[in-house]
Amino acid sequence: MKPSRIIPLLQVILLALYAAGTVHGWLEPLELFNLLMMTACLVTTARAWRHPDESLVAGGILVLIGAHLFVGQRIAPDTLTGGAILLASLLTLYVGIQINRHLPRGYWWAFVTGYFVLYALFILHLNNAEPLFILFLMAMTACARSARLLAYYWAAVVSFTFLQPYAWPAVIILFFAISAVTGARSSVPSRLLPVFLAAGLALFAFVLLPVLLMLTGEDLHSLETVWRDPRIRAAIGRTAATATVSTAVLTLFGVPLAYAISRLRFPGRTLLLSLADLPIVIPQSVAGIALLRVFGRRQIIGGWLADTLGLPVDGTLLGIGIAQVFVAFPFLLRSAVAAFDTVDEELELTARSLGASPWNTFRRIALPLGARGIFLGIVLAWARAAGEFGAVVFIAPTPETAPVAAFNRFNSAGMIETAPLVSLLLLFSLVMFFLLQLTTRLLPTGAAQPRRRP
Amino acid sequence: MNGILHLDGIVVRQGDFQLGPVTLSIRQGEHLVLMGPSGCGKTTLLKAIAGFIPLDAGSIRIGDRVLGDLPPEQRRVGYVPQSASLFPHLRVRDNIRFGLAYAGINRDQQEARFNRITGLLGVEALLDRRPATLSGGEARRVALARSLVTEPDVLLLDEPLGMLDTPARHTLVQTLKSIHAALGTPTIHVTHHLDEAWMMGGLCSLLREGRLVQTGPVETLLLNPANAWAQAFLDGGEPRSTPGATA
Repeated sequence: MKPSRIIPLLQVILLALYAAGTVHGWLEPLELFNLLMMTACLVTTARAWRHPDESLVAGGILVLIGAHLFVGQRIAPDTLTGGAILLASLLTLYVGIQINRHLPRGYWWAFVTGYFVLYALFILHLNNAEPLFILFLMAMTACARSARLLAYYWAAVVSFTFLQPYAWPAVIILFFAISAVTGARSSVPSRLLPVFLAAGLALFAFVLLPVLLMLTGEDLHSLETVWRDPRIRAAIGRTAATATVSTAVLTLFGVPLAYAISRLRFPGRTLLLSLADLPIVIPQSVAGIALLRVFGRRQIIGGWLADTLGLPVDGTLLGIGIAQVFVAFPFLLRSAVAAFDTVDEELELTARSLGASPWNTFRRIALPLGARGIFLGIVLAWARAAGEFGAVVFIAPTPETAPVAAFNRFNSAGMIETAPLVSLLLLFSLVMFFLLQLTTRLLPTGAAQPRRRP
Repeated sequence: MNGILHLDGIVVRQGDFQLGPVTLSIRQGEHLVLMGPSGCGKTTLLKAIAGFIPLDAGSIRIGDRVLGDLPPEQRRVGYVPQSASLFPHLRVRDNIRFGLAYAGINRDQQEARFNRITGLLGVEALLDRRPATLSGGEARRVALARSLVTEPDVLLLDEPLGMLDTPARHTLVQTLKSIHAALGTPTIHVTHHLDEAWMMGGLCSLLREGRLVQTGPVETLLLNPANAWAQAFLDGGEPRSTPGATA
């Protein structure tokens, strides 16, 4: 049977149901809304009779009106909400038919499923959420033509319904993942790579979630309260100062060492490079205890430093600095060696033949060309030094650095009290890190012209 | 500008490979094209003269100066590597100026030299560019200018025309000839293309497996190759260098 023949049939069924409804009292016979609905049905049927190509629209409209008349009134009792839902549904129907006509089949299925999921979410799952349903239905219709928009839309819906307490971090993470995956391009077409990317991002979400949760969870007022605490301010200032001094010392010794390692071949070179990673491998607490074994007040070196030079190490800024240098060392050295390795030796030979001494060659060629990599190492080293807790807490539990202060406050006051401090520290670290990263971008790279072998 | 480059029986060993003994003199105003197949030791010879690789035997003199163990920066030997090796972080101007700071001359003299050499090589229009934006031919010119402002006693060119298209090669040959006419710096020009020797039209040397086979004007080499290998190389460009085969 042709679709255009179904319309009058549907109309007849509706009229019969309407009559039955008024007789049995399911429907108010003279209710203005119901009368309007029935009129709309008749008009639609008449139009479908004259324009058979619109029969699909007309059939859908009749089904929707019927559903609203007999079922919808039970769910959304007032006619205003019911009418709004009906209108939104009609819009959805229209968009659905357009999608069916112009877009691939998958879109249509996604759209229709989306409609029913929304219905289940807002009408059945939440109480009194009909206006929300309408709002989200309209939004979905607006997003329907673009798969990417639709993905953003569903990310928002899922975040604000299912992932309720973590809605904002979830939205940020999901939006980031969607823009990454849908925006991914490769030189060789591959469907596999975006899947890998998505899988990796799923794990990465667990890294981002705690950070974002802490950042979005606090209001400015509580942050300000923490910032006014002189003890906290002193701890943050101390952290920044010690990390900066430690990194400066590291840079002064580490960069020349890295240049030597990159350019020289000597016995034990590989061993040296592997041993330089030791501070990464050693558990931080173990490193702290080991440092205490050397620099503690009752140990030989520590005692000598304290008694002869008047420079006690444990429980002082010097101790904090030593622990920071220890843990940050590999980050600087690794990056700097890699940076110098990218500088073409031919450039340095050329500089020498132009009259530059080894020092001037280092200063004018190797250092500027390795600058970006070296600076990246400095950034990582600074971040590591500022964030170090394990090693620092053993050698210098006081004076407090910021990580130690967070630990102490957590132990004495608990999670709720510590949260604003943690947010503040996170914010502080993030701002520093982004600033330093930005500076790194501005430096030249060592990537010279591609090297040709003779 | 004191004269003649003498290589006196120099030997360089690198693993299984041995360069030399090579004995060779290049006078003021001479442009020697050193030819040979890949891996025959051409670049090694240049690097040894520039002081990047130590000698195992023999000596190098420029006029009365014995180079001995002098570090590269004290040799007054201009070395232009194969890929031009411009300093990527410096503009063309600063690339060319690089060596002037170490030439021991005052600012006015530096400026005069800079202007003279950039004019001679026709790179004035490129001065504010970054090396990455230069074409192959432009980069070679800048590299030449950078070396020549230091007024080296000897100029070493490693494949100066390599990886260039034909028009660029021809222009650069004209440039090399005009530099040669203007400055007369003794030059060793390494290549594995016979046509470069022909285009430069001066002295020519054949190097095979680390040893000099023949030296002379390019016409002489073509008319009277020293042996069958030289004949084959000059005829076919690049014969396989079969180790152990009698030359």
